[in-house]
Amino acid sequence: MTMTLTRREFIRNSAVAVAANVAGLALPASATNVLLEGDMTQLKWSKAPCRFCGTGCGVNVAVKDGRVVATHGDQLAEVNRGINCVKGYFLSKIMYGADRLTAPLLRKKDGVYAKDGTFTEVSWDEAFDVMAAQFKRVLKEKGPEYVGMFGSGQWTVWEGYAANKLLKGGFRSNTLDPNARHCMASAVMGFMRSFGMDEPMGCYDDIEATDAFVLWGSNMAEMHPILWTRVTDRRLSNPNVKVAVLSTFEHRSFELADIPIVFTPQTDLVILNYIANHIIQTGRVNKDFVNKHTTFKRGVTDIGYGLRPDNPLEEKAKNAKDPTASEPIDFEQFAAFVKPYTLKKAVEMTGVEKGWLEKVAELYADPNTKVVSFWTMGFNQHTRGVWANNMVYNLHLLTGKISTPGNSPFSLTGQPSACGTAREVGVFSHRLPADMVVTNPEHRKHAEEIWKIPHGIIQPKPGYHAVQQNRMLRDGKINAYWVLCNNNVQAGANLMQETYLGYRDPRNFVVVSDAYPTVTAQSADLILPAAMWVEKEGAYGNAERRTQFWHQLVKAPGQARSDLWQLMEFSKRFTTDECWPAEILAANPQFKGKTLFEVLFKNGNVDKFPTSEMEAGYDNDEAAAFGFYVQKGLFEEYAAFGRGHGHDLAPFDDYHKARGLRWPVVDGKETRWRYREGSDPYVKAGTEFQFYGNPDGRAVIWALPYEPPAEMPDKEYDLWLSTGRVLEHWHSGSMTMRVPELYRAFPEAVVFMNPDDARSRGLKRGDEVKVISRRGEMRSRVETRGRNRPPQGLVFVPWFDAGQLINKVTLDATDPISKQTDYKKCAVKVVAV
Amino acid sequence: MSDVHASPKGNAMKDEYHISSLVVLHRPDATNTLKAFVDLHAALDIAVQGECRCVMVCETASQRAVMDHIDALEALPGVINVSLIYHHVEPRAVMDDVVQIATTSQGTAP
Repeated sequence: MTMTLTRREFIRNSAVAVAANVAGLALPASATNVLLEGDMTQLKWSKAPCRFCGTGCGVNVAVKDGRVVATHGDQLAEVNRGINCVKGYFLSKIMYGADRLTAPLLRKKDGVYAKDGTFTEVSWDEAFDVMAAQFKRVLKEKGPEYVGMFGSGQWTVWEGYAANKLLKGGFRSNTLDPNARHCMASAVMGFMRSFGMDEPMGCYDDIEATDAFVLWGSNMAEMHPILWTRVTDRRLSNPNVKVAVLSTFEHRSFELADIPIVFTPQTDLVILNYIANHIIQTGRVNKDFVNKHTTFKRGVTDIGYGLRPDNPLEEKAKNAKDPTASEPIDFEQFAAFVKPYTLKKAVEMTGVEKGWLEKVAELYADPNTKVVSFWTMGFNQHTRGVWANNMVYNLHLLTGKISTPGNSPFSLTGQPSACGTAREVGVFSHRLPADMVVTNPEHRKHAEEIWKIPHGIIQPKPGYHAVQQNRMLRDGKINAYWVLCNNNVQAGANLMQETYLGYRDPRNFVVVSDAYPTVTAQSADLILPAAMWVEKEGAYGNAERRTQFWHQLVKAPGQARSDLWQLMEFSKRFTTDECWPAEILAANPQFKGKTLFEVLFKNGNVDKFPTSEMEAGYDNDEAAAFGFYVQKGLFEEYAAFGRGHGHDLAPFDDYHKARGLRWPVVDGKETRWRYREGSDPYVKAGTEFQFYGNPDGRAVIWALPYEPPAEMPDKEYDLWLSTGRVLEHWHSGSMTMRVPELYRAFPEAVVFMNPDDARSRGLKRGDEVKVISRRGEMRSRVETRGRNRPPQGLVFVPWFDAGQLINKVTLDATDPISKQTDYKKCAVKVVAV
Repeated sequence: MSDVHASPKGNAMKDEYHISSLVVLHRPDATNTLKAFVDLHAALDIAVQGECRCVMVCETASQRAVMDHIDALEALPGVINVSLIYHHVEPRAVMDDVVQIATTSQGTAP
């Protein structure tokens, strides 16, 4: 039987059918006559995770004639079930910006490299010759600690792993940190201090199982829109479900809020302790859980603000030198510690109405309400961010609302592989893979054995973390510096007093690998053109421990090469004699005279798998260049760190078939809820729960107080400044600002301001203003309407716009434990131009 | 869907016809507001209505107009989220061409 439709009707029906399927709605009879058209099937479709945030949505990617021509939400992906946010929808366009970098560019004068030269196109050979000469000079004259690298939570797993090997196992420098320091470090230290092991115990499945969502400093509606559609769906389909949104200003997530709370900046710490006190005072502690599965500690206080040591705030702080110290206490001592955090005190300090505070406290206290807590940068970018993380775990631990479906303290991530690469691979200045640290001799030894390098190569002292890197560049303590896959001149706080001075200091040689000429690239001495996303084979790990793979689908333009190729190829230019101590080589003569490439990447592990093991039909430029299946070798060597230790990854090939798997993957099965018997294979029978990251199997409840922020508004600088993102742009906008639809939707940053604050300064919407702090100033325009509605006394400025660098204004105060910058609080004034 | 990114350099076709489908999540009491809004906008049509979500079709002459409609929908009271699910662009001239579809017992095939 045949039927006749117009082309318009046919396309309409297709569009409706796909959307109805995604929405879980039944189709009307008129729209059932569809199937994909013949010409659509001529495209080659493959799966990949999205390039942007840490949600880890699956997308289908269509390639035609060597170009990505379409993407759409992958209906088979459990994370997003066929839906994409607006950034994900225009994903393919990020690769085709008009100013894509396609050749290395070196600053030259009179035909040779010069710090004050102009960018000149050079070959890869010349680029690496000059770069290697500079790195060798610094290694020889200054030593390995003067070599540094700033990496990325957007690196593929194997890129982060190769970088870790090259820096820590090759150059012997621990100064390797990811931009994830800016977004996730407080979450990491929160997990480590409470559970002894990084990353969430729950997963996104908690969304459909819970009774209440509490957002702490997270605007999911804009920053994690796909997870927000799942939260929205849960809330709207189940009228009993409640949503509490806590923030320092109103934003789009408030549209769904049953409990809307705008609090004075920094007083989230007060609310957290008030809720703990409320749980105790109303007799709703889950005593059985607390007795069996937790211990209590009191942390030291007055820990400073992670500023330079000569800053008066640091000189004054009693425990700035050892901010992690603690002492064991018991439940009664903890109860006495939080007792002063009464409702009255909370109302006074937070400025929140009593009724709302009671309501959010009851969500946690009521034993019959399952709770998911979500947080992102409001907690993490906080001078007491680790404390805030510990304190929200307190609430879930006191009530036993953890590790069961719908009960989940869940730290969301901002980058696609902040978890999979930065955290799991250990791309931090103090870390090694699988939660190990350079300060532990056993951990170093274990890593050296897996890497097949001599004992003593990995240095015991942590390197410089992200914020410290900028300070050390400025002080001339890092002289050879490689920045890959991030835009830190736009991201790092206090640009004018720290970052920029270091990049342009004549003592320093700075290399930036990127796909586009970002402000960071333009501040460098050598720019290396990078392949991006599906121009290389990749792996990312999302916020729910899900590891996802993709194939290379297209070629990178011109001479652009992946960061993996760059790291490995560069390693060929160094020998062990140039990088390792003579005594270690004398004791291990088989390594003498070898290149770093040979000892790190042709070590019998990384080069173990021949190119014949690659899946047919896909390019792999790195495998072609090096002659073996590079990605598989790196992944399998890396996986050896975690298998059998609670971080088990599946065999490499499984990930090319699956829509991601959540680790630990044991006997082919992923783990949705960790630490609970029956759900996590590592939990021993009869224990019910086991927080096995800590030797005693117990999670820690922390007694920690409110302490004020590093800077607060005063008479002269009379407004709080909070910075962040908007839906349409991702991070510094280096990709999304090159997508015409996204650029048009939000072309430039604005200063979101309360209308009364504007009026009292003689300003109106659209007026040009200067935002001024003690560190610098930037020009922008006033916005008194729209998606963000700050209370009086606070302005919000997004940081995606390279034309309006708000990091000239922000303060480089960090959490002293995590070393993560507080981008949410500093004092500014706003004046008319 | 197939042609949404076919012009990455921005050399868009002249006289285009864009057909998109959207999933709109909204509070149950916003159904009438949505209906009233759709009645006022010729480009929009509600194809399937659920209790707190609906599938909408959006037919426009440009991609920018699709984005404008999404922005306008998101600004409506009671609308929580609008997702663009499917987008197809072709020359307007071929929209009335006839397509023969063979139906099978499992459904239809092109």
